Amino acid sequence: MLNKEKEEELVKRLQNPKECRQAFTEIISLYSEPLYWQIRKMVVSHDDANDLLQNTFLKAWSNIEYFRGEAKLSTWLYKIAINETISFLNKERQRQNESIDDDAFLVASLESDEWFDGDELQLELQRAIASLPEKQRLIFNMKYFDDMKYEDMSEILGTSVGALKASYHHAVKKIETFFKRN
Amino acid sequence: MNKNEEILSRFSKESGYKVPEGYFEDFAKKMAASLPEREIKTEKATKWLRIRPYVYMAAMFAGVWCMMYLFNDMKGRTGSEYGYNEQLAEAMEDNQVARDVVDMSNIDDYDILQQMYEDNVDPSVFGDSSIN
Repeated sequence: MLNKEKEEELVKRLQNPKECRQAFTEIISLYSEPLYWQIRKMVVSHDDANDLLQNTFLKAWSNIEYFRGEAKLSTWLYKIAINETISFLNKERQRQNESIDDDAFLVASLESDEWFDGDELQLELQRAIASLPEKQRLIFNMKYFDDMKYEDMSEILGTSVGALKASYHHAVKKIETFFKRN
Repeated sequence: MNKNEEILSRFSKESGYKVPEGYFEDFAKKMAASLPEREIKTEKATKWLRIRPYVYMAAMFAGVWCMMYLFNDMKGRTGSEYGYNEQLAEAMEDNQVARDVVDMSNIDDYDILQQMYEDNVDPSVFGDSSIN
């Protein structure tokens, strides 16, 4: 995450037509990695995550004049990335006739995925996470892997801190049940 | 540490996912190069754009002038209704009409004479014995 001064400077340059492109190039370098991991943990496949990350930056670039710095730059980018990811998952579920409460189909071929080198435990954890409903999965990934603050998550997801805490607690309980059963 | 945290503590915070070597550097370069050009919207300084503020100002003054003109005109008309009315003046030339008006209202001779003295009108100029 950027510090406040650096972010203000970048936003100022984004609003200047002559400096906008250069500033946005810096934004791509700064945010491509955290946004990629956020998307990747949801869609699992590297190729899909790569496409969605490109779409996220293209959407942000084409809407840059509407970003006036009221929200944090990172919040704005995360929101676009999450919307892109959710739209993609909805289309995939429709294509594969799957329910929103179980994205197990995403990890079905994870073992043979060339871009996954986790051990058996990590694979089991990914299976457990994929069994969570979409929103809980998103919250669990943000909190558990990225250790994101609830306040930041609240801004990105538009959900109260209390609801996020409850949702994370439920996600952890479900993962525990998953491991007891398996 | 509660039971749930105990289970999760068995796992590292690594997800097990990986990316091709140098992926993020390449991505940033390719992405920056593929951004479409943006149109910079600049308004051409036409003759109309240059004179536009003066036209707006002239229109504002014209509006204020029209409002003042209408206001004065209405004020003048309101005064003239009571100041001079041809029909009323013609009717009041007939003494009978004046008497009928006085009879219909509860005004006696004393009230009329008092009003005439207050208005510095000499009652004898009318030469009517009924009010002298």
